[in-house]
Amino acid sequence: MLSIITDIFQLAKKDILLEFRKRETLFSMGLFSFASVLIFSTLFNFIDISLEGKQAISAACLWFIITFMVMLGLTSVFSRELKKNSIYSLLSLPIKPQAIFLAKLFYLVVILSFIEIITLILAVVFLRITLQVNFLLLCLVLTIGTLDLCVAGCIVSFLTIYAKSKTLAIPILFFPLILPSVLIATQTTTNLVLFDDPMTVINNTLLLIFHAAIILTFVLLVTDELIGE
Amino acid sequence: MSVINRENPPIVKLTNVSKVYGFINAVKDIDLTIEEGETVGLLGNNGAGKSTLLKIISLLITPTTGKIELFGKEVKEDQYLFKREIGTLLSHSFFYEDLTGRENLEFYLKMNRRTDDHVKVINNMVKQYGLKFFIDRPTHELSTGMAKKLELLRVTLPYLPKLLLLDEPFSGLDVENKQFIKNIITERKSNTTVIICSHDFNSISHICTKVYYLEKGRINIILEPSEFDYFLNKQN
Repeated sequence: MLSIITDIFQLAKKDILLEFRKRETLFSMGLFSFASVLIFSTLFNFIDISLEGKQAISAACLWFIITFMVMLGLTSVFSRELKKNSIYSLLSLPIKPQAIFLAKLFYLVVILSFIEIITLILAVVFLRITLQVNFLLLCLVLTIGTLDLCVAGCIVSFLTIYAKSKTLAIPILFFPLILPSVLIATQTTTNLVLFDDPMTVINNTLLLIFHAAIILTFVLLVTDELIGE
Repeated sequence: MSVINRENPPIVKLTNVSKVYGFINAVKDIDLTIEEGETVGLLGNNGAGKSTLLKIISLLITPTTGKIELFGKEVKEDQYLFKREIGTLLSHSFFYEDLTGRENLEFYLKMNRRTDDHVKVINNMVKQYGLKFFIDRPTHELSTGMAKKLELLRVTLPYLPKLLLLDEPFSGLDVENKQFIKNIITERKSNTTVIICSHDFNSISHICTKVYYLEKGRINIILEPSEFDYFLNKQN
């Protein structure tokens, strides 16, 4: 058990180091986040709706941004290995295939969390997501929702390792898989921002955990087949 | 004196192994047995199936049909346990080009969990390989020869694998670097079973104890050292 954790940590550390060295994915995610927040913020200045309405829409905007940031992050999950057709560099390592999946998941969660913190600050400033709500619960929803999206995203990355038309295959597989999570996460965040109803939030968060757990269990059972060929 | 212990099982045993890509039979009905301590060459033209066969033996790809036995055990589940004993060098680099040579080597050392004293091991070996001034550069800045040396270091440095698989180790190298790599293989082959893929018989004939000539995915000829000169003359 300890060895698989060490493997996951070492693999993820390598990917994070490479990402922070080049900052390609971080930059594109950050830029997308900033541009989106700015566009939605400008839009709010031109429409006449109440503060509550703006906050409800802001919660949806936040998940829209996060969803597309995960999409951007997905492209980098195996990009380094596939760059020089060296997926074999990973396959030659004496580690369980599940460790590769969990390491890629860990990497995606780390870089996404990094950009999400910046996005949240931007959202608070520009989209007026108020921090009067239970901040811990908001963080919980964001964390679980993000984790759920990343799990779904990683399975799509695994499924499309050898796909020739990745740009087509990724959205086709990714969106149906994440739709339930995004809807629940948006509803939960809106609920939290508007009504501060902890029970609904906790129930919905449990649903998100359940969704992530199902996908994760499934993918860990079939990782050998997915990464084989 | 041969280091082969006949009481030991073969290091590699392939039975009726085939690999199909779409409609192409890359490898057909291969039966191959390689004993411990042998240095075997897989010879053939481009597209003969050498690299596919090497990838099958290194467990990087799964054969469509057939049985693989490595170190006396059939390979079914938990392939990662077998990979601990295999060092694979393919024609393209395994290195992450934005990491330095040292970072790449440290990564592979840690993933193989062979030693804790990474810095000391790497420093000792890079001097021998003449890589002292290149080890802290990103690998994409290295020349073909240096990159190849570094790759060879990757598969030999972390541990002494029981099975060393080399795909075209001499391609793109000058005479000096070719000789260096030949010396390293000769040094290692007393402790390791080596399989070398090449399309150039000249470069492997002095190292190998047996050569399999592949054509259209099948083993056509098996050459013993006594037949090397005859085959070489015939080729020339």
